[in-house]
Amino acid sequence: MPTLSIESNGRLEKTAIYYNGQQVTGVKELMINLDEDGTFDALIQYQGTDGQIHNKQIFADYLSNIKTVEPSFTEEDANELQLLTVESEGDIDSCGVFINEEMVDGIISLYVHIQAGQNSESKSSLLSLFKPKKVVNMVGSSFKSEITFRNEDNSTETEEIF
Amino acid sequence: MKSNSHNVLALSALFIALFIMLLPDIAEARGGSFGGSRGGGGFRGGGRSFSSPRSSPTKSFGGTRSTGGRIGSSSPSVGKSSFGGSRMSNNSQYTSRYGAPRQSTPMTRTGANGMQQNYVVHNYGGYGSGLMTGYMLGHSSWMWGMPFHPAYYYSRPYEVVGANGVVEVYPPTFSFGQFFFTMLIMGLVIWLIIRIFKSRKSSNNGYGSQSSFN
Repeated sequence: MPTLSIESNGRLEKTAIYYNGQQVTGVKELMINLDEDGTFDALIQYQGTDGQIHNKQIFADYLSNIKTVEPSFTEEDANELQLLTVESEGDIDSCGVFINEEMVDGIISLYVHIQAGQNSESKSSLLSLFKPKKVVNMVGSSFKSEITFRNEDNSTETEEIF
Repeated sequence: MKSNSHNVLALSALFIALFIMLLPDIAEARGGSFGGSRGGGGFRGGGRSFSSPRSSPTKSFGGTRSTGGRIGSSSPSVGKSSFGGSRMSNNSQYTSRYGAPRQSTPMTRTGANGMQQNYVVHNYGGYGSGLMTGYMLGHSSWMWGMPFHPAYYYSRPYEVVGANGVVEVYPPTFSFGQFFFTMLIMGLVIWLIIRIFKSRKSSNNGYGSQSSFN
């Protein structure tokens, strides 16, 4: 059963994606939209080892040419991060959600959308080397992660995951 | 902040390493072999008696050549062609700074125009004199013009055209200006390379090395 984990503190700089236990890189966009009604959208866009941009269904497709790297976070780093893990065979019935390695139940919906922005800086020229260092402005980045639970009294509660 | 201090440290280490590499030559130029007073007639010649610059051979004299016009002229035809030395108006400029030579050797060379030219080569020992010999014999190498070679930091041999037409040749001296200017240029080039690599790295991965998003 394919497994996708997201380890993050809510900032893109500190976000690692693991696919079947291996940290991947080159991810451009990730969207998970799961609902108890049967909605099951889990998409990933990444730049593969072939340099091409791939769009895949995380739990249904084989993530061909995906780039993997050694885990970048240490145990110490991990203590300050949340770990969301989703495992499924591609439908909501076989879907298990874990937060910090503990299975959670009573979920109404889960929505995660992480998108890497584009550097707004124009192509670096030789003259730009002499300019003072600017903060890199990444345009179009997005980080949303919400999980909605149904409480015992039938009330609903929405929480941020990271 | 931390990487900046690493850069400064790396550049400092580079400068220090280059300085240490050239330290023997700098020391030599400062006065190791040059300067001071000559003791015992020089170690190379032992008991040989050396002719003084002014009493150098005169057999090339005669004919219609005139030395008057060449002294101090901007493009002399004699003394320039063989090894491209630097002109001095008189030899006291050199001897007042570096003292009397250990050895003065007369030498005759045929110039590019086919005419013979008399030289008196003043040897002070050390690296500069070795370079002078190389230039005189035409044994210079293209590597001498490269910043990694100590010869690059030396001037060309100095020439003084005497009233009798004999060219006196003095060893090259260490050029501190050239040394520091070259270090400056090299430092600038290294800094540029580091900046280019860093800017490429940051444009490839806008979120740092820990993120899966880039």
